[in-house]
Amino acid sequence: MTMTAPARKGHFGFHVNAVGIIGAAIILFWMVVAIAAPWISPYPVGQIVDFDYYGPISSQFWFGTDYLGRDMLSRVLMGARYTVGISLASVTIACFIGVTLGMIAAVISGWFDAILSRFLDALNSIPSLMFGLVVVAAVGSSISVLVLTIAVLYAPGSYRFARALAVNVNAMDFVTVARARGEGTLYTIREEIFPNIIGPVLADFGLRFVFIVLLLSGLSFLGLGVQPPNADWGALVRENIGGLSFGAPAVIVPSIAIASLTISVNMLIDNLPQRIRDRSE
Amino acid sequence: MIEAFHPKGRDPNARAENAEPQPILKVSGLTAGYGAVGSDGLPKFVILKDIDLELERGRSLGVIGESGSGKSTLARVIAGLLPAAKGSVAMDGITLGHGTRDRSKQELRKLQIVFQLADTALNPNKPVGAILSRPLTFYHGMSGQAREAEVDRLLDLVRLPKALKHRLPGELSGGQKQRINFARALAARPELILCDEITSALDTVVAAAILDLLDELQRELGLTYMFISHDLSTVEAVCDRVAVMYQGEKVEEMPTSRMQSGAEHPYSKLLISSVPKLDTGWLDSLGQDRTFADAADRH
Repeated sequence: MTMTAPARKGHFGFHVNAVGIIGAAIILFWMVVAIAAPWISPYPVGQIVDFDYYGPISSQFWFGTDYLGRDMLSRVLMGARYTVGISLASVTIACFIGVTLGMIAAVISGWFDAILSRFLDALNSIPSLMFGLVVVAAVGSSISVLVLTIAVLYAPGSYRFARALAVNVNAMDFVTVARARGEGTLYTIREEIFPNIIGPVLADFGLRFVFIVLLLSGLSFLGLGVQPPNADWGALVRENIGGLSFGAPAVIVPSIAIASLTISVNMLIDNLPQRIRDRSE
Repeated sequence: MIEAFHPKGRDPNARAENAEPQPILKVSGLTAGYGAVGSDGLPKFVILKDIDLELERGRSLGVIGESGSGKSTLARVIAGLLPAAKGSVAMDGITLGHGTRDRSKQELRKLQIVFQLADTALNPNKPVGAILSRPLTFYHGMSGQAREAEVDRLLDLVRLPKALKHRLPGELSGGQKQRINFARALAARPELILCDEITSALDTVVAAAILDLLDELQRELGLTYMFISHDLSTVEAVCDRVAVMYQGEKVEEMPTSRMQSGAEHPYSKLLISSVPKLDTGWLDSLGQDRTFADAADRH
């Protein structure tokens, strides 16, 4: 048998394409910004530095000023902490819980699946902003409460999605073969089901991330999210929306920041590094 | 091609020297079906009714019948994938649990099932090597070099090149996939293999090659097969005895050699006589036909 020439090996035996690299680079950039924000932002977040509101881009204020005359560059840099941190943390928790439970429900099925599905459907029926309101009223607003609340809100959707995929895979013969072999639930989930649903699950992860960025801005708008004078990017767009008619950079810059982050997350997920299988024999 | 279409029959006396073969599998009074279990202990849709079967070690039993006659359900019940409502399945005289969870690892190992569609029976995201390694790790606790060597041996056993172990199932042909599917069952070092329509999705030439392989492996490894098929010529080629299923019941069992002449039950007769025959001499026989020859002369 003739073998084709082995595929060109990247470092660590992974093959990445250009779009994926660009996506990863932008995400990495925003992560670095999020971590380094306090040291690189030129002005304190809450300080009014300009008497002119919706100020234009200038050498003094690179991204102009907002509706109160605060420096936008500093606010966007600090906002990265909240948006990147909270959204990524909560989408990761939500998807982890949802996907794990979804696969377990699909494999075990029966009454366990029925009860869990109905419970999470009930949770899904609560409007997210209302739920956030109740939680914040009950325990107060803090970053960890926000992350957990959003994770709980988005886990049922992720569960539904993963369960639907896993039920399909679970009906395949190779899963039946594993069951006939005597494999346990954990092995079946990890080795037979998960590798076959990972693609769509990651695409869902990217979408859900975008929704969470938007929900976070909604919560902030209601005063439930990030507390002033701090603001996440969504909140920055909301509070400066009045400047849109003036073409103020105060509303455009955070919008671009949100777009760049969400698009690059999706770019990376659609072009994940692929392991090059060793066929050198 | 023609040979492949009509594999030659099997000599029933080929293994007569193995006197007094032990029954490896004994199925008695097996009743099973699908749906909710009613107050009488029977499922809503009863598919198998009171099946009795015995299978001798080193022999092959063919199970034939039309679609929906319960052939595949029988295999699933024996493998423990579908718990039986009544009756028992015994291997080497030991009664097996109804579900896979009620059976010991050794019991599971001795009985392997191979499915019809190799496309869905192999995990599309796992290289062939990993697929074959798993039963070795699971049943025999093998790892490292020893497992690698065993994978190579298994590939060799099913006449596939070693380099194939780095491929994904999607990169194999249908026949190669079915060989891998079979090699996975062999990895467990089973004693009985349930073959559920394993050649039905293959063309006749590839199917004939797979049947030859099964025959060879039976001789080499002393395997016992239960061969489920709706294709009578494949059953004729590999099996010593045939059981005919009809509407969930075993209507008749006979040696394969008696299949063409000795069927007694009207359904078996109908089933066996409805096999299309490949008549290679039909064109020549036309010349001997008086009316046809006259018509040809006139033109």
